[in-house]
Amino acid sequence: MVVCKYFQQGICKFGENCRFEHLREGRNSGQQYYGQISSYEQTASRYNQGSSRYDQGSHRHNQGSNRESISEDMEVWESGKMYLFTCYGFAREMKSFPGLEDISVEEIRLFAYEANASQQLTAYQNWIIDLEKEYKAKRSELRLPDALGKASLLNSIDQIKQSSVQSEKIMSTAFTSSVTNNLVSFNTNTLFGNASNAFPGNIFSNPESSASHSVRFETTSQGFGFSHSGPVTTFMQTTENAFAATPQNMFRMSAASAGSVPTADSVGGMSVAAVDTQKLGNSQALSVQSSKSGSDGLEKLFTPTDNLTSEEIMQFESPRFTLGQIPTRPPPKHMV
Amino acid sequence: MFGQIGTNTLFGSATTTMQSYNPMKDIEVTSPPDDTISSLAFSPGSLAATYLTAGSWDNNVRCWEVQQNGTVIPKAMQTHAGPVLDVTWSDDGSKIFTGSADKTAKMWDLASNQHIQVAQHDGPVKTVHWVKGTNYSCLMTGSWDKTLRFWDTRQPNPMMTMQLPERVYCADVVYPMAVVGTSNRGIIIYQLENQPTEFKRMESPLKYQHRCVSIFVDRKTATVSPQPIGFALGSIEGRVAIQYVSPQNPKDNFTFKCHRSNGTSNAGGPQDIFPVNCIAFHPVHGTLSTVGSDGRFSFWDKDARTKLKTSEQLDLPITSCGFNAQGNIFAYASGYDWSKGHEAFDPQKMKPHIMLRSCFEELKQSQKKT
Repeated sequence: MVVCKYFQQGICKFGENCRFEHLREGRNSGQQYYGQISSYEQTASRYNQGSSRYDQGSHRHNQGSNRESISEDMEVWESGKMYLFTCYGFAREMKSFPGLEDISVEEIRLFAYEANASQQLTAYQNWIIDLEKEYKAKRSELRLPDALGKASLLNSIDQIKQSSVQSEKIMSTAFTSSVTNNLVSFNTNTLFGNASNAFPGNIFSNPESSASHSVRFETTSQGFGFSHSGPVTTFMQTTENAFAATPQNMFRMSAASAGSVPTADSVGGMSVAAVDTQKLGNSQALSVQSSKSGSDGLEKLFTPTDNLTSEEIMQFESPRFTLGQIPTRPPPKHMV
Repeated sequence: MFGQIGTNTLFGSATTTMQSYNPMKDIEVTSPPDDTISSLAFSPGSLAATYLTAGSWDNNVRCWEVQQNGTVIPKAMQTHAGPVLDVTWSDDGSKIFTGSADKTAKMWDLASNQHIQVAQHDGPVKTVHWVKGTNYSCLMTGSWDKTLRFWDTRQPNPMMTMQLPERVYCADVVYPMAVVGTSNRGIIIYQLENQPTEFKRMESPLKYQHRCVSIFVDRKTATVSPQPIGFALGSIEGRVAIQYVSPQNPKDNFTFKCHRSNGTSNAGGPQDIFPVNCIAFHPVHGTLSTVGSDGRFSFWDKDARTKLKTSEQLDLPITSCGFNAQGNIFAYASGYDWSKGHEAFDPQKMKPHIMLRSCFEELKQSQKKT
């Protein structure tokens, strides 16, 4: 009933015992990544078997089919007339693809209402038209990347997988220096990447502080018109850049998404990002400063020792965090 | 009943007939808001009577009394300086909390009809939830300013502020658990005992933007002492993920497609995919309802992994839904949700409605057919 994807490539490890059909002829079209179950009534245990296998398989899968599944997703997105302004993760439990930002319907609606109230409706409409073009362009990039695009696409897929895999590693093992060294090299390369392109275009993803974010909502008619058209056009010019030319750009996005947690001052929990902040130290701090518009000072990344409780200091000093006592504030600078 | 509404079209006046905006022939709430309803909430079971509150893009929050015979009486209304994005009740039913795009959350004391500000953010307040804990109570507000704040309503400053990496898009609270769905497919789980602390950050089981989240409880203890064990997460891609916080078996977590058109099979052309706007769990049966931009609502049994019912299609998207405390009334609100942008919005033709449906039997768990 459901065709085995691995068998068609000759790499099915289950053989006779495989849950899925081993067919000799051509593959069924329309198989999405999630895919095999079409109706909800089918036993989901089978479905979950399949998807967990595919999750493992994606690591050893040749990259071509990753790109194919992304391509298929883009086709479904377009043919299903899905909402346009959404981020996209090419696999469950993987980080989102860099460069595609989430905008919710409520955010757009609020802009429209405010634009209406301040007689700026055409500015809003132009912004939306530009935004649509941008997202559609990105979508077709993901769908049919040219030669340059393919390389950086595969690169970014790998980076995303690595950062997600490494997050698992870190969570399960002690914070050894080898892992952190990998992280340091991973992040320093990318964080010094093209700062001006960082989260461009989309007004919401602007890494300015939240205070300036609020300014956008209150802004006068002039501010509304100018502030949005600026970033959008910048990004449109660099769309090619983001997807085709510079792998570093894409790194930067995914690294920033991994690193954005600590820069937002919360280093609690068992997330990778918490580790990043701890171990990256100065390089991270510097690049974060260069990427943000100067709003977050260096001092916000580290807590002065005398502000920490003794329990927190103990936690930072020990080789491993104890569950339930992980500090929610960044460590002091000398401990990083 | 039959025929009296449908005949409107013969006289040519109304362009939308009741048949199109209320094809399920459910009870209509009188004096609905003038603009899309962002959020609905029923009063808690601690009150003898049943009240419904709705926040709307017309900046107002309204309250109706819903009597068991189906009569709906408008009671009162309050206003914000911007569209109301979320509404919720306090645990004793004496206050309604409202979060708005005017960056504040307010507390509406129903006895005195006072509407005072209790929270302040740097961006629109997207979610408000009342936390009733064992040794504290507070209001949790989530905002597009990337913070989650906890407020003692008597103090002007928050008890606690959590910095988030992303904007808050949706949240739910069932003590002692809170789940926040953020932009960029983030999920953060908090544990609220003693004081709110971050419990876990997860990668999303869904590939696209998060739209709504609802916590479910262990069915065995649901009516006595509800223990949250997981949540349902809806996205803009017509898909819901059922996720257990600590699954006994990783296969317990799954996703299902919903609110898609053109049939259920892969063959037969591409499906139209619609966002899932709201998810609500039945307080007694533990089954869930989803409402989508396709203008339908569906009931599901997540344990039997089956669909219980799908409604007829309304002429407008359904933006919000909720169950009353006893689980015999299902409320859903139709109105334009902006999923097709500004051009598709016609305020004259797209009047929002709130419908109430008697639902206790329909949401019973699926019986295994032997």
